Amino acid sequence: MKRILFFILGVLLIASCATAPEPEETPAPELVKVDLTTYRQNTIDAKAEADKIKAEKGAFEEYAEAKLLYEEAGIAESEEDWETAQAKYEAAVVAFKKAYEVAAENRQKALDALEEANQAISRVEKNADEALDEAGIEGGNE
Amino acid sequence: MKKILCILLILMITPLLFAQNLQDNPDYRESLRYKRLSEESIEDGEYVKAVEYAELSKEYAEKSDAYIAKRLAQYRANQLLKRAEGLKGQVERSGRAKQYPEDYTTAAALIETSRTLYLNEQYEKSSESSRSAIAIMEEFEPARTTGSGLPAFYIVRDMPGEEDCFWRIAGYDFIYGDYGGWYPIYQANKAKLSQPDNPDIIYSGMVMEIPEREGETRSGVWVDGEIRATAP
Repeated sequence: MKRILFFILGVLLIASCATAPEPEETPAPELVKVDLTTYRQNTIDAKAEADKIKAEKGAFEEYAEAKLLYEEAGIAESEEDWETAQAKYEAAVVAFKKAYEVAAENRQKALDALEEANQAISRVEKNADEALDEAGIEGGNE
Repeated sequence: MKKILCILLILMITPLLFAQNLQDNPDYRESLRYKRLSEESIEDGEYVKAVEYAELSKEYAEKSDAYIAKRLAQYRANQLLKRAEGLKGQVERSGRAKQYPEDYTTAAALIETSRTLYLNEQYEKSSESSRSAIAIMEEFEPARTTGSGLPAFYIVRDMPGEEDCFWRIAGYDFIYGDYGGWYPIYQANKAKLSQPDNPDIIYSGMVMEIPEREGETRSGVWVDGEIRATAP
């Protein structure tokens, strides 16, 4: 009798195992690629403007900072660190614009100073002409 | 022969006046050099350097200008001093020094002061002193002259052995008393010359205009030691 009961239990156990539902497969998380084209292009445009006014020399520190951010953005992009890349590109745009402004300001100062020098030189030439007319003095040092 | 000597003298004096032109002035040259550097720096984007160069350019231009102003002040002081000395000579020769002894002494002292100031390179003060002396002597009753006692015109003379030329005319004490003052006379009369670019060729009988110098008033025509209202 015991043997019969053990047999039935064994059959039931095997049957239950055979009908157990397969565990459901969970989908792998999908990789989201951010489109950085616009950010990259904005940075390139801002850099071009800064280059046009020669900010690399005319606003050395600001330009160097902007360039570093731009390079870091490129590295982050190549490593598919999209968020960092985007933030760096945005920061680079701001930095290049700043470099442009500083360079433009420095350039204007230089042009103003040159204009003053030109005026001073014109004054000398005018006074030398007048001295020549009046006295035959040409203004050279003895 | 005399004319040749006169021309030679002009040729000797002219280089002294013109040897040093503005391009020879080191300060002026520096101002141009720094200006160029400033322009190049702007072109290269080196704006901060460009400002420095432009400021140096201005600084040197101002030095150059100060030098020219000083030379002009020196020239004016020299002319006024010579004018005062010339007038003093005229006053002495005409006997007016004895006629106005006190004023004459004052004028003579002012001329001496002017000379000292001139030698000490105080040209503005020297000029002032000369002007004061001139003003005193011009108050003297003119002797055979009109107005200020200074002719506005001079008729080129034909003097055997002593031919007139711009250099000699400027040197007469009744003109400027300064041979170096020939250039303004030449400039004023250039158009009348047969060869305007050649100051060496003038003819007797030509009526030369004598430009007024600072502090001078001229009128009439100098003829044989006196100033007439009109040319003969």
